[in-house]
Amino acid sequence: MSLSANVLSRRRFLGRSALFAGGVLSAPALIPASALGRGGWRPPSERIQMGFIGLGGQGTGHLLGGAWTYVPGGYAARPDVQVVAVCDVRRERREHAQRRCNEIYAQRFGVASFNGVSAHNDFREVLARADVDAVLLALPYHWAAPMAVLAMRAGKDVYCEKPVAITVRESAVLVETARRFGRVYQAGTQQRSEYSGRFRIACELIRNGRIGRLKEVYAYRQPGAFFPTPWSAMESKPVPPGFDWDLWLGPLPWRPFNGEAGHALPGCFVGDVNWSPHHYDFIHWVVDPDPNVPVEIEYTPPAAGREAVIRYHLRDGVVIHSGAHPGERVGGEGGACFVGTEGRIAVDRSNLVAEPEHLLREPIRATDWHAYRSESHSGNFLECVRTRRPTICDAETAARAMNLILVGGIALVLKRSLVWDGRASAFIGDPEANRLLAYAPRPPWLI
Amino acid sequence: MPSILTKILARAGGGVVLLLIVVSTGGGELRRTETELLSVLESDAPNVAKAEACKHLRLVGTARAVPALSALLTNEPLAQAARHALEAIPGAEADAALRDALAKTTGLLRAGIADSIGWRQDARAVPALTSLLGDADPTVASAGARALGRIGGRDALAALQGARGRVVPGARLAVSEALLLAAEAELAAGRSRTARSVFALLARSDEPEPVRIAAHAGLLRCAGRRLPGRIESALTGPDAAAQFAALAVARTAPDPAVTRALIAVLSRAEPPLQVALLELLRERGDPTCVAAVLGVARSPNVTVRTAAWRALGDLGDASHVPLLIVAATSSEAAEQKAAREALVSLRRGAVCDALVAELRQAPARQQVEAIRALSERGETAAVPALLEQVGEVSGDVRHAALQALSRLAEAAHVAQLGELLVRAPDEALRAEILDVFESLAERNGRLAEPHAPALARVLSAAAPPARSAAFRVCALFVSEPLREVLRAGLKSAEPGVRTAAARALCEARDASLLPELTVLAQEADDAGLRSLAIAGAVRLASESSAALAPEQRIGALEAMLRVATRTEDKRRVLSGLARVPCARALALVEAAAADPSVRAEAEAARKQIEEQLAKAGR
Repeated sequence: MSLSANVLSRRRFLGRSALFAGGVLSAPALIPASALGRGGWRPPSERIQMGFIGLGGQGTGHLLGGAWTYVPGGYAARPDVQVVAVCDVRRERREHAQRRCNEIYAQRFGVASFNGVSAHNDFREVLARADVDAVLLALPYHWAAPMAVLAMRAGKDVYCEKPVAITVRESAVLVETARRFGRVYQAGTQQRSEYSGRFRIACELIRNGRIGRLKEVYAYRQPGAFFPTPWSAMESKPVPPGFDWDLWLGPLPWRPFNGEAGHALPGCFVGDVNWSPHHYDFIHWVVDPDPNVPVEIEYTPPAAGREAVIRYHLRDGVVIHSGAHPGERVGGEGGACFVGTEGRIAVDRSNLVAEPEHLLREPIRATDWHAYRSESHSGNFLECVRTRRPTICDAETAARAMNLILVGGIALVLKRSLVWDGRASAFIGDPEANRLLAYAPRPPWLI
Repeated sequence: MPSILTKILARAGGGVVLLLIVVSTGGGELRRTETELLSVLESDAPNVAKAEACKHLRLVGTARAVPALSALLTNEPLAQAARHALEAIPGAEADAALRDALAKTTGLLRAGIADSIGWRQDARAVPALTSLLGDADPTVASAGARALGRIGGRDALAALQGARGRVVPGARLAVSEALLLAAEAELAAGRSRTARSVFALLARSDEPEPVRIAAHAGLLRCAGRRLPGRIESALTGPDAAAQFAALAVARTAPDPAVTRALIAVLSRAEPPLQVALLELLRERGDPTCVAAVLGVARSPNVTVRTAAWRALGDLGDASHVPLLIVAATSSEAAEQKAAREALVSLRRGAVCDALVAELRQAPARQQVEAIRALSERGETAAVPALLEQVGEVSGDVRHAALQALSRLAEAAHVAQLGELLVRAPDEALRAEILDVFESLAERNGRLAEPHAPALARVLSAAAPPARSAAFRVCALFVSEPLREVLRAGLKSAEPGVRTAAARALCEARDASLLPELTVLAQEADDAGLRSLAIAGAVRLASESSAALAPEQRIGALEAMLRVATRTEDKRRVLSGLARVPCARALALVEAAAADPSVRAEAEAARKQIEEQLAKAGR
């Protein structure tokens, strides 16, 4: 089959398409994945067709523009993307997103009656669409991994907001699925790409030895783990009209709606799984711990007025502290502080500082080690969808950092120190802790 | 041993049930805890309490807990919690309970139980799970299939193969995925013949594309030594799924023969595939790919060229600098960006020398690109060549060279930079060279031997048009020879020279010049210059980085307070005093509060000093 034959088939598809309610197709050709031959190769001049699942603050921000999207107008404004479907279990959210997207495209294409963006309550309808190449998932925590897995099984590339998994088992299935189906996966750890490259620069400075031998890392965030307290509940409030509570719950144990459906149900997690993925992903980028070397996770009970502390003891004596570096104000906003034999570097979304200061003035040279470079997280994802190159934070990378968080969180649950063998995906000598590496999901949400 | 205390407060029919469960971690306590949890399950406690007990039994349950838990597997509100516990309890008892429950349940309960069995990899459950494949409910059949896939082995594989085409339509994909899973396990166990037959079945059939991609990838992983040839065949063949799989598998196969296979395909592929291949070759980092990359670098397709430049950046060497320099002047933004990044990425060979050669001989636009690359690469060895350019060229090239020098120049280059400054034909160039000195001073403000004396010699010989700039350079650094140049300027017989030196002195970063600044503030005839001197002295005296003893700081500020007559000067001094918290500073600001023109500022400074003193006292 030649490329020209594929183009023909795409045009045939478009001829049957009901994307445009009326009028002549004046927009650039929209290329459905179903019509892509040649392994799904997508010429860069063609748009990637996307579905957006989860339209809360984060998802809508990605779609239409917001502080965290780093692209004015969000994906809907990108010339290289065509939004074809939006999905949320809250009717008002999906209908708002659908209306806005249709308005944006109507204006862009000069077709007043444009209604090519469909709205869905059930994400399975989006995954079943052959014309969706990729999905952006911005979901309650418990849905991130299951839905990413289902999407990749359906042949979709996936951008997924953190936390990417809530159990180590979910992480494993995520990695296994991405590998099996050859899908492009990007975790929403945008600090690797955004913020003027501050995090990448810090990573390169530290990995090129500017602070000497790395000794300690301060994460400024506790790790966390899924440990619902209580497992279920009885309090009940009327489910708001247009809200599919059962689908929101998905794999979680069923409980009546009681007005608490946000990123997560209160009490479902011990520690922090919301912000910690940013912190520990960045730390992982810098430290690059050897997955074959077990990690000692030291638990220290909370002192008066303080939270419990987790310390990860890595190879070569490097210690990651869950708390803040004493006296270093930089690091709390998604960052970390790295202490070496010759100084320290701390970074967050607004600052990059060093002690002594001159550590920052020595530029990274061509012969130094260089990190994977991405100047736009969404841009990197879309480029990788086209080239099939791994993203800057692919499933395996994201899962490794997430697992570090989850196993530290299990130490918080059990209030004791543990030893984690990443290669075996198990704690050493602690069968009880190993029982917390998974949970039994509610059917039919079995992965 | 540590323990977890969990209080369960549950509402039951208007009443409140309070349960206290002690979960501990060892020995007799563990058994007692399990006993307590089981007593909850056997009581008439509400479901939330029983579910909570199940959650804890996941952690501490043993075979003793199995009967109570298995009784809940058929209880819809509690089945998930019971599975949650049973799934983690080791031993044949839990396996048997889950197997038995398959026959007693239907629908979602049955699907959940099958899933738990799959995660436990209970091979004895294969017959029971096989029977689920015929279930009319696709959720049950799918769960059964996936469980069989996770258990794997000959019997599970046979069951899954037998079910192909016979399961309900909604479970077909699950059966295929389960076959993939089981086949991957066979391959990992070294039984590649079995694995290959399964993969071949799924690759040939009318399976969904994701399954076919995975199956083709599996086939390639079974290929052993034939992998390179198979990858080449897949990439040049008509099957889209096979192509897709070939790229994915090649990514994890470092064999140089695979690299050669990719190279063989590159020139024949269509542009989108060429782009993907170039990315893949780039990732492999094998410089033997360069010739192939160059072969497509002249493609009429800009996206291919862009990918080629990116690949060349990682794979190429110094000999590719001229080609990349030309590409970096492309009018296509993406191509230009890729070529520029490639020039920065190049590692092999004498890249700096090659860029310098371009700097000296290429047309102006390419010279600018060479300078940009040298700067981005941090090539300090190129500084002499850049200095040369500043002296010889004009326009964009000179501007680019000066910008690069701002980043690259070091102490060893200050004398040459000084020469350029004193010889500069116009004020604009002097200003740009001053910017370079400023950047250098930001990075290294303390000039040591032999650089400071050499710079001082050059600057002290500056002719009138460059004198002002020369003094300003002196003021940027902390160095005795440069101080002397400034001091000599202040004593010059020529009024213009004295003024230039005085103005530069007001910007001094060297605390050793504080006495001269104090004198200037006291004696300058020009009120504007006096104000500048006061500002400079306050800045030096109150900067924490200045190497001054507290008494020197306060002494200088007190002197400035005495000479300040303008309100804005007095305010400036008060703000400086506020940054030097001590009793003497406090007395000075309290006294200053008597002056109505600065009363508010004096009060604010007093407050600030008192707060800092209090903080220090804590």
